[in-house]
Amino acid sequence: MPVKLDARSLGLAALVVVGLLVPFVVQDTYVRHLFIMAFIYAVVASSWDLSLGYAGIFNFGHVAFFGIGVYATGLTAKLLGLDPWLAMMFGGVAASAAAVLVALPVVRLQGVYVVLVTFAFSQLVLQVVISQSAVTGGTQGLIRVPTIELFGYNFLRDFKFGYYYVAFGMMVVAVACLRWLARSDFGLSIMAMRDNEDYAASRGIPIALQRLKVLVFSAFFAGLAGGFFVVYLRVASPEVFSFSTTSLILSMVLVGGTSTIYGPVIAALVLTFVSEGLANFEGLAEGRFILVAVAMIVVLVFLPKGLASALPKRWGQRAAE
Amino acid sequence: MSEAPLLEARNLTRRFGALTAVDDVSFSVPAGQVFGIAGPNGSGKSTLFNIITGIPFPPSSGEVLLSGAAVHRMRPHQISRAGVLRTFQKDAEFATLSAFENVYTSAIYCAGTASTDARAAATQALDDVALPTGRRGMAASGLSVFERKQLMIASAIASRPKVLLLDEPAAGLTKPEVSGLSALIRTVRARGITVVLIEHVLALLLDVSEHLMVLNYGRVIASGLPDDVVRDPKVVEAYLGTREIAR
Repeated sequence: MPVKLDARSLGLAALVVVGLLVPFVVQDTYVRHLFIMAFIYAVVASSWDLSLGYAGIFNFGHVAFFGIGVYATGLTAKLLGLDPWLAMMFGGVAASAAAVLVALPVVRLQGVYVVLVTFAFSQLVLQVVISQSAVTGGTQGLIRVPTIELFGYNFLRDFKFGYYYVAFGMMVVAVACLRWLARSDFGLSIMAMRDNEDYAASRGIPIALQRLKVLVFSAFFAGLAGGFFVVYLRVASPEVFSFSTTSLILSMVLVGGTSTIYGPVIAALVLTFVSEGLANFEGLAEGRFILVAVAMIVVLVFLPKGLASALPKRWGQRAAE
Repeated sequence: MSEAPLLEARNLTRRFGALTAVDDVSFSVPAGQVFGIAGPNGSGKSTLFNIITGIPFPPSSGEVLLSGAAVHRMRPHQISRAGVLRTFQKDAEFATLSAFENVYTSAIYCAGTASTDARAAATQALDDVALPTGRRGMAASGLSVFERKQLMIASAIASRPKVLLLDEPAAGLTKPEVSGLSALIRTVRARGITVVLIEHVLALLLDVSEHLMVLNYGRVIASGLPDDVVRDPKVVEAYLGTREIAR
């Protein structure tokens, strides 16, 4: 049976092809590095969108899941000698396990109390990392983390050519999974829960279980991104838990547009390149953050639902319609 | 021989500190009946629905039985899945989901219908309430007040409950729309769903109810055939007043 492709599928396929061709056009190592970082941030931001945007859970511990992925991968690869590919997957699993712990209080809380608990969790993880310096390297971080290899191919070669494809592949798979989840019956149930929790319970939706699942799924992708982050940079630093990392990624979610998945991906690319691009102008090394903040305000004034609202409307349609 | 009740409340009580909002209320509803509940504002009608469904809180004491089985210790979504479904006075929809998705989600999660069948069930339920096809893809927040009532009923039909608890469904409707709502309630009943109806619009209540119970200060002050109950001096004094009866 012939496969029928609509304009959206063709558009997405074209974007994937463009993404695959980028390393052949872009030879500069630094620009490739920016793409890789943008892809990592895109996974963290779009997975945050699942819990924050779709499910309406004010989870401010999402970046801690990313950090847990960083350290779980770094420690198992370096101290236990686990293959870095498997260690990356373990990063995702460890973040999901942490999400179960966070979910225990969060599933029964509302609004600002969720913010407080998740933010406190984030700080708690940071304190554990800093205090256990014999294992984690404390404030100095974990260095010389083993990196990935594939059939003898050393990813440190070829000016980040291989890393680019791993990061790009991870982002494509993560975004595809997140979109699939968001457009599934499960996705409808979490949006229903976000819209009206009491009414959702009256329609048979198990609120606590759906919240738990959302946190576990979104944490997995954040942890996986953290795992790749550490095998790519080969350094795990407590900086990943910082407020600046949280605000950067939260900006990507909000500027890109919540409840879209694609929006945070677009914003991750735009903000990473704009921020780094401005740094090349004399005198803007620090001032660029002010310019980026102003740009965010401008975007949110003219596109209150984020950059994704500029996409054709059909891109946002859901499966059940 | 008396008919075995489908829904039975035994000595239901709900306290908030010193206030007893629902005080030792007992009643039973046979299968297929439309059971009306009336009473002045603050008499505990909606609180009664809250504690029957566990949304947002369970009773302080007492029991709720569905077909003889206790449901009051279940979680709210389990009570809904067991067959006791409620509506709310306000915000009785998922605002950002389309009308179709609202009904489809209920069919999936409440009735436990498989995905493909749920689409058909949602379409059928929307046909039953005659929500125009062109409005079904629209976000529920964009529907008119009466369309939201249609959506509420469609969502209930697709959920396949045994008992539907309707909390003031006529609120905000015009007189012709109240007649339309009356027809919708009959549609629900025709599908074999038992209805418990809280309503201030007495004409609607008397039009569709076969049994009427009146609450005041959380207690049952009268219960029986609607025509008898509205003439009960206690009900006239506490709720209706003499002018309402004259009408």
